[in-house]
Amino acid sequence: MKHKEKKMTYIELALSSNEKLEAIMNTGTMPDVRDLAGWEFKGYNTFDLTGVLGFRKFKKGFIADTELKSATDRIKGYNLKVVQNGIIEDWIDTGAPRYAFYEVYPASQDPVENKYPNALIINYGASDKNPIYDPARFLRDYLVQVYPDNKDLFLGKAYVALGSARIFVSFFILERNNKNS
Amino acid sequence: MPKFKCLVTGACGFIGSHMVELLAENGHEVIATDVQSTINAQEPIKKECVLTTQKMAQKLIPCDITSQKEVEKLPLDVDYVFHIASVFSYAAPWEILYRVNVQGTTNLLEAIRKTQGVKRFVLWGAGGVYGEPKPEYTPFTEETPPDPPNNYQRAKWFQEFTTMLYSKKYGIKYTILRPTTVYGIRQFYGGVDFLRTGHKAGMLGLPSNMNTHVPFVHVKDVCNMALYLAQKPEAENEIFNSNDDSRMTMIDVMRFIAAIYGKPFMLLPPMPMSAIKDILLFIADIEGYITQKVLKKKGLLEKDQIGMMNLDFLYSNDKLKATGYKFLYPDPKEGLIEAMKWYEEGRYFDK
Repeated sequence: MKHKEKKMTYIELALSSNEKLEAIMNTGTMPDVRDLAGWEFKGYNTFDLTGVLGFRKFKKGFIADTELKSATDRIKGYNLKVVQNGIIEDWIDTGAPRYAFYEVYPASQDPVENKYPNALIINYGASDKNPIYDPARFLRDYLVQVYPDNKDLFLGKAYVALGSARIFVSFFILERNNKNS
Repeated sequence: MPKFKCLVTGACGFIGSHMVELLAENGHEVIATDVQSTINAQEPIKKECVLTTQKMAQKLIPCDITSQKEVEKLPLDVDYVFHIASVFSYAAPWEILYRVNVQGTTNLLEAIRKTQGVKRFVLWGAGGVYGEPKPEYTPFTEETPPDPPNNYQRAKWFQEFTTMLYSKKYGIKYTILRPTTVYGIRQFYGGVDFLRTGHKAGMLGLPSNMNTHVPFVHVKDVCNMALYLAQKPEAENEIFNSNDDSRMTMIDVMRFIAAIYGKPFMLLPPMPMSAIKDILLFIADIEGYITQKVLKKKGLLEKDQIGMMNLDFLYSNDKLKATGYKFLYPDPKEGLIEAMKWYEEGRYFDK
């Protein structure tokens, strides 16, 4: 009989080692953008320093300007600042405006940002809503669906793009939270 | 399911109140007993334990088990005795530990011997009786020879030894549990310190080489397995490690605590842990002298606890699992979150 591994919860993923998360990045499936658009997701960075710097918890929102026809259409998104409380507490918006905008599309369609062809790329450099001086423009996130039968739970991996170098910053976990505010 | 009549000693303490609750919820008749000073406890968490026992037990009888006369007055026409009463403190003097933990157990066994009707005497030992981890005994199994490292563990080991002696001499049937780090709601000493730290600290951090394992077991599991094993013929006159399936390191635990309390966590550079231990022991000596000799108060730093710092404690629970026992909390995260919510809702750390 094939051994069936217990599915990990949001908290378990958030506290997992980088090795475990890397394995999931490689085996995860590409999210259907239609499952993302119109929703905000609660996010948690796994890198400890983000807790010290005050952005361990965050929200990511996804929007579609036009009607989505396929799983691989291009969508847009934004980040929201939330109160930095415990992981078991609610994600509470601080009321600050949306920031760090991005465009989302399959990594396999990008000639450069294709480190994980099974992922969507969240490309902050592709959004013209970020001011030219905004350091967010250097961010590149990859996003996979953790389990094929769970459209609410996602794993992300954030990089900083410096020239041709891609510097790993943190993994992050996303879970469906609320409709776009 | 058959209904039993049970006696629970130490019934108004942390584990005792959970044992009473479990037995009552399963429809058993519970005679609870504890020392009057514990029954009168006014500290908020301790009071919660007393209230639970008062609510759930059929009878609550004040009894100081160090007095043979008082013990003999207890109704011992019961099916099972769950002997939890014990001084749990690494700072308590040997005389008190011996009087309560060893002499108290002897008094109880002596009274049970005379009645001859008790089906099983279930004793709460301690996972710490094995002493410091040694490579040849990793993980600790029930076959590992006890090597108690301090007075508290020594008293717990004597308690077990006395029980085995009475069994051999008078045929009293026993089961001994050796719980590791017990945690859960209504706890006021021990595992709860992880949660207290999470609540109080502004930020948590540990040296990256402090990655030794912390054993855990939920209080509901300890009580559940006590009731389960008491009825198992194969658990008669046997000892069981009482430890869950988790293998969390100190870093895992503190990172988790930081996450649930929303506190930043930082891994610090490796530090020479044995030197830090020596420095802390030296500070504990000075602090102990000032608080105990000069201020006549209980010291804050417990030398025996410092001595256990950064030791890699791994326990086997194979023997327990071979009986078919299924853990309610195989992993401590869920139980710690439940406990954290209970302490926060009651604002117990602020009182």
